[in-house]
This record gives sequence, structure tokens and C-alpha cells, in this order.
Amino acid sequence: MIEMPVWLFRVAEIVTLFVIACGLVQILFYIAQLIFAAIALHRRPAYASTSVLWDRFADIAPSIAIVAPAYNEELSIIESVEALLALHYPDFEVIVVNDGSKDATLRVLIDHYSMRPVARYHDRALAHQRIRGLYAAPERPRLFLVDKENGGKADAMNAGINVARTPIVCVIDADTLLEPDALMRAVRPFIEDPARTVAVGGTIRIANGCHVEGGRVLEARLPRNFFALVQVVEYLRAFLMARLGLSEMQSLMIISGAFGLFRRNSVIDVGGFSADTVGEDMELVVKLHRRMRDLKRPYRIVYIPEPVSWTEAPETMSILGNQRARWQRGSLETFRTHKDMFLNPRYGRIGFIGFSQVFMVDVIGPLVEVAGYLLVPPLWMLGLISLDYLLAFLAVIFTFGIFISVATLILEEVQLRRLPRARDLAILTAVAVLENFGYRQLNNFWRLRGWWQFLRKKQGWGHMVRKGFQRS
Amino acid sequence: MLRLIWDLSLLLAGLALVVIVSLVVLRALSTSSRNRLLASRRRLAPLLLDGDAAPGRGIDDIADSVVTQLTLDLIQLVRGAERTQFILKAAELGVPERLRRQLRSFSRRRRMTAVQGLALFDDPASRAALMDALGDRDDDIKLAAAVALARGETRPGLDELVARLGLHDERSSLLTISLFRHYADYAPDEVQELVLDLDLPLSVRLAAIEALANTGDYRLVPAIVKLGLRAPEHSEELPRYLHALGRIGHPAAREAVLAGLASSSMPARVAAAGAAGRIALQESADQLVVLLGAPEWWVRFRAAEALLQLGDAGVAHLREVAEHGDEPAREAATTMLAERGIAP
Repeated sequence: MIEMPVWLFRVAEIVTLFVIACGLVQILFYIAQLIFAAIALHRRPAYASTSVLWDRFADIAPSIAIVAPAYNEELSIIESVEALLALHYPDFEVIVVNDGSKDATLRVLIDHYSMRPVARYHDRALAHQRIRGLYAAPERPRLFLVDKENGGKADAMNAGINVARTPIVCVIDADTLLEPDALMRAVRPFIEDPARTVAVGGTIRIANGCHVEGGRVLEARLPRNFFALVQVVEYLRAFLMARLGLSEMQSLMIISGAFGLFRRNSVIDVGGFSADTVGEDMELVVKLHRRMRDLKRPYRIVYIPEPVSWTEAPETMSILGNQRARWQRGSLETFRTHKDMFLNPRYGRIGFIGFSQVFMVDVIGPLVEVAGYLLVPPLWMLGLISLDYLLAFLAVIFTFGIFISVATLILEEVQLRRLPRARDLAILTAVAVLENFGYRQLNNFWRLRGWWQFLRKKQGWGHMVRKGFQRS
Repeated sequence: MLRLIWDLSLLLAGLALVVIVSLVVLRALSTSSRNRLLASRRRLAPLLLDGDAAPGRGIDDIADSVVTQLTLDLIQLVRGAERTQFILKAAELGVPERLRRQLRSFSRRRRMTAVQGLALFDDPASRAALMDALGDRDDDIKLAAAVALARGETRPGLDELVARLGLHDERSSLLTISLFRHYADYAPDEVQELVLDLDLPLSVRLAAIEALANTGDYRLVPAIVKLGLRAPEHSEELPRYLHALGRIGHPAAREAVLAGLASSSMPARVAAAGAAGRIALQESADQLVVLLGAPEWWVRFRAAEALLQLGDAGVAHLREVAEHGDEPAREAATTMLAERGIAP
């Protein structure tokens, strides 16, 4: 054994204690989220069937504009729009925003629905690229098309929100598959507490492997691809534990841009989606919190698990890695923009709970975990930490991760029961174990890449190649 | 310490394993039981669909829960005479009794299902059970029971319903409006009493106003006008009063609407412009033209809409602004005329 100076032991001790402390705080966050998520699920209203919901809400449901940005979606746009137009909701409009597609998305829509150029007086409150034309379909009065110059997803959503004339806007991705009753379920908070509800997020599930037809998931199945399978577990944790728990604590920090309902006026008040960040969905929610807290107005931003939308998850390492790096960058950009809210008493639980969670999990989370992986072997080789303790801590970190995933599966199974088969539970548990050996480390590496891109001020979304849903 | 950490790991791993095995086993058992119930449903459905009377024989081995759920599902699917027939069959099969028992369940979901089911049976025993459900510990179930009672032929008094529901909260729910609408159609006087009862929370009185406005009952107009004129400028209630006046659409709302058009509150001006259009208040035209240049889009849009609703005189104003007006009023006038296919 090499003789080391005392100060080096001291440094190693401090580093080790810091890593352990961060780990413990994260564990406490997760446990709190689990408890609050269980409370929220237990308290959720007992509306079972869509017909009952329709019976109660149909005559009072506020009108909704669904804003669907489309970029190079010529192959799937008609199927997506048809599915949107067939949603079960009494009063809604579908606003497709063609974001300067380079393919025939615009032509396909115009030809298929015999759309005609129209004039429509619309708001200009939100900034976006120039609108080239507005189109309506005489035979499909619920459908409206905005053709604009390319500006990215946030820019397209802002254009759609400007054109919308409804009190509530629903933002989705063009390839999001909404369950037929998703709007009816998601609108509940706006009906029950219309004065205070500002935004509502719903559940996003992985459609890979499912049987999809006519823009609808007809049969839910688990994907066969390992990366997609891991994402099923991740999404369950993210939505059923983290978002539901944080929502119950009234500290929800993100509503996914793939499916969220927003009060239109509130979005306009905060300037809409920011086009200069890749985390525009998180940033919008933080801006809404900031404004409502600044104005000292009572408000609610909630996640409810019942409304479901489906999305295609990346199945290759390179695309998944890009996505995770981008998400990391988005979180960091939002944290930097609103860092004055962190631990600021003026912002109450958003500053203390919401931002602390972002700081611990998104900002320093990957740094600490990777620092742990990198520092532990040399520290052990130098005899600065004990192998026994190292193994014990690694074991507790991994088993806790598995326990959290299993706890989320319990919530899913007891309260929602959306996994079709018993063996799916077993498969997802196996995945929850396996993800700790390789995938977890890989994910942290991708997130570090996001950190690096953030420091280098990289812009843009990168390239997402979609495989397409399995259609019959 | 080391031992403790290892023990914790083993405990977490063991717990996870036990739980997941239990979940898988329970799910396998419940799937098998669900398959049996589905088979029973498939057997029962044709028996229920055939003939005028409830199936007497051959369903003894079918679980009560299947009979209850399937009859309720069938009732929800149809309307008119068929629905009445299914309701009679369900009553013969003892469904209402089972639902009344289900109201005592610990599970909130089961109690809610029972309330929603009982809403279909307008008999004294079911109504009594729904009245009891107004005392449920869950607010959603209470409200569902109230709506069910309000839809029935024999309704309890609205004041009693409001008292039993405990609507003392200042928070408003659109479901309260929905509940009052059922009364507004048949017992508008009872809803009007709520509007004028100053001891009730403002949210309840506003819900009553909105429910009444839907019926177009003119009698409330003077009272709402008075409330609108007295309401603080930036209050939440002012636009709702103006909106209700627009829904009723009576010219007696003139004074409040004209005052609303001059309000400094944006939601109030939007609601007042909407009301001016619905009432076709010709003397509001000049104020509406001014509002075409308002900084807020919603105000400009509603003002332009209202001018269009005023008819030829309003269109003439819009054409004038489209030709000689300043931005943003000119854009509002030009685009709204184009949108309606009217030459500028």
C-alpha cells in the first residue's frame, strides 16, 4: 500500500461524504414523491367510464384547440389528423401547424381535405416566424391549417396558440396518439376548479410494440427492443411517481410538450413557448409558476394520470443518446434562466421543492453519479476508501433503484392496471434490475454530454429518425 | 454500519421480489376471474336483449356484479322506449337494491358507480338512497348524487340541496352550474332565490346566474344589471354578470353593457362587447369602434364580432375603419370582414 498524506484522506472523505449526501437527498426526494403519488392516486376521483364522463361534463366542457405542429410528416399526417378529429370531446378544433416542412406535408393535407385559403383574424401576441397561409376545410369544420416558415417546435406552437380562439389549448406532437377520451379526462381540473387551473399534464406512454391502427392504439403491448423497454420503466417512474408526486406537492415543474392542456391567456401572458431553449415545455411551466407567484394569485398546475397519449420512443443508442442529452440541456437552460427562483422564499414550494428537485436530480445528479464512478476506483486503489463499504453502497444504490421501480409498478397495478398481461409486470421488473448494469451508466454519460453541450451553448434539436408505429 | 447497509440492501431487494411475485400471482388470478366474468357477460347479454321481460331462468349462476354492470351498460347505450325497457328489466333483476347496498361500500369507486347507476332509477327507494349519498364523505359523490336527484322527476328543494352539499367554498366549479341548470329549466324561481340570497357565497350566486342565463329568463335582468353596475371594476364577477346578460340577450341590460364597454378591465370589456353583439345594442356601435383599437386582441376580436352582429350599421362602421382607420383597428376590421366573406 502506498503511503498517502493525511490531507488526501481528508479530501477523499469529503468527496465520499458529498456523494453519499447527494445520494441520500435524492433517495429522500424519491420516497417523498412515492408517498405523495400514492396519496394522489388514492384521492383521484372515481370516474370510471367515458360515457359517465361525457354525461357529467359534455354540456359544460370548455372548448379546446389542439395545436399539432408538423414538420416533414407527409407519411403519417393524415392518419394523425383523422385520429385527432375522431376524439370524443364536445367542442374542439384541430390546428395543424405546418412548420415549413421540406416534404409534401402541406400539399397532402390540402389535397386530402380539399382545404382552401381563408382569412382568420388572429392574435399576434406571441412571436413566431411568418405565417404563409391559413387554410380551412369546408367539409371538416373542426380542422384548421396554419402554414408558416420553419422556426422549430416552440415557434410552431406559438403560432398555433395565436391562431386559437378557445380558452384552453392542448399542445401535442404531430405523432402523438391521443386516447379517444384523453381530452375529456384531461379537462377535469379546468371544470372542477376553472378559476385557478392554469395547466394540466397527462400521461405519455410508449407505443413501440403496440398494435396501432388508424392513429389509435388498439392493443397495448410491451416493446421487444431493450432500449424501448427500459423507457417504459423510465416513463412509469417519471409520470406515476415523479410528476404525480410533485403535482400532489403542488410543485410540478414540467408538463410534456407531447401532451398538455394550458389556459391560453396564461400562456400568452408569459410570452408562450421560448424558442431559444430545447426545454421549452419545462420552461413554460416554470414561467407560469413565476408569473402566478409574482402576482400572488392562487393557481393550480397539475398532472393527472388518467388521460393517456402514446408516443414513439427511440430504439437506437445514438437517437436515444441525443434525446437524453437534449433533455439534460433543456433542464440546465431552464435552471440557468430561472436560477433566482431556486431556494427563494418568494416562490414558496416551487423555489424550495421544485427547484431543489431539479437541482439535485437534473443539475448535479449526473455529475455526482459519474464523479462517483470515476473517483471510486482510484480512491480504492490508493487505499483511501474501503472495498467493503464501496460494494455495500453500490448494492444499496442499485436495490433502492429497483425498489423504486417496483413501487411504481405497484401503484400502476393497484390503481390503474394498464399493463395488459401478468408477465408484463415480471418483464418490467427484470428490466428494472437489468437497467442498473450498463444502461444507467450510459444514461449518465448521455446526460454529461448534455452538460457539455450546455456549456458550449449548443443550439437545436439534433436529428430524430422515426421508425413509425406498427400499423396493420 | 457496514452490516446495516448490507441488511438494508437485502431488505429492499427481498421486499421488491416478494411484492412483484405477489403482484404477478394476483394479476394471474384476477385475469382468470375476469375471463370467467366476461364469459358470463357474453352469456347474459343475449338473454337481456331478448324479450320484454327480464330473464328468469338460466342466470342463477351469473354473479350479481355482472348482472348489475351489464344492465347499467345497456341502459347507457340506448335511449327512449328501449331504455325504459332495460330499466324495468334491471329493476326486476334487483339491480337498484344492489346499488343501494353498494352505496355503503368502503371503496369510493364502488360508491360512485352506485350513485351513477341509481341515477337511472327514479323510484322512491333510489331517491332516498341518493339523498343519503348527499352526506357522503366524498365531495364528488355528493355532487354526483345531487345531479342525479336534480335529473329525476321528483326533485328535492334547491335550497335543501345547496345546504346538504355544503357549498360554502368560494371556489367555483362548472359542475355546480351544471347542477343548477337542471333546476333552472323546471324551477327557475328556486335558482333566482339563490341569486338574491346575499348570505350565500358569491361563487354559488354566480353559478346560479349563469345557469339561469342559459334559459334566457328575462326576469333576472334588472337584478343582474344592478349587480353589474355595483361590481368592482377588476372583480372576477363583473365579466360573469356581463356574460350572463349577453346570454339572456335582453335590451334592458343596456346600462350595464355600456358601462362594461368603458371598463378598464379587459375581461369586462370582452364580455361587454360579446353582450352588446348578442343584444344587438345599436347605441354601443361607437364604443365598439373605439374598442377595435384596444391593445388586447380579445377585445378587438369581440368588438369586431359585435359590430358584425349589429347588422348593416355595424358592417358600415367596420368598412369605415377598414378604409380610414389606424392599426390595429384597421387590421381587425379588414380581416373580420374578409373572414365573413363581406367585401371591405
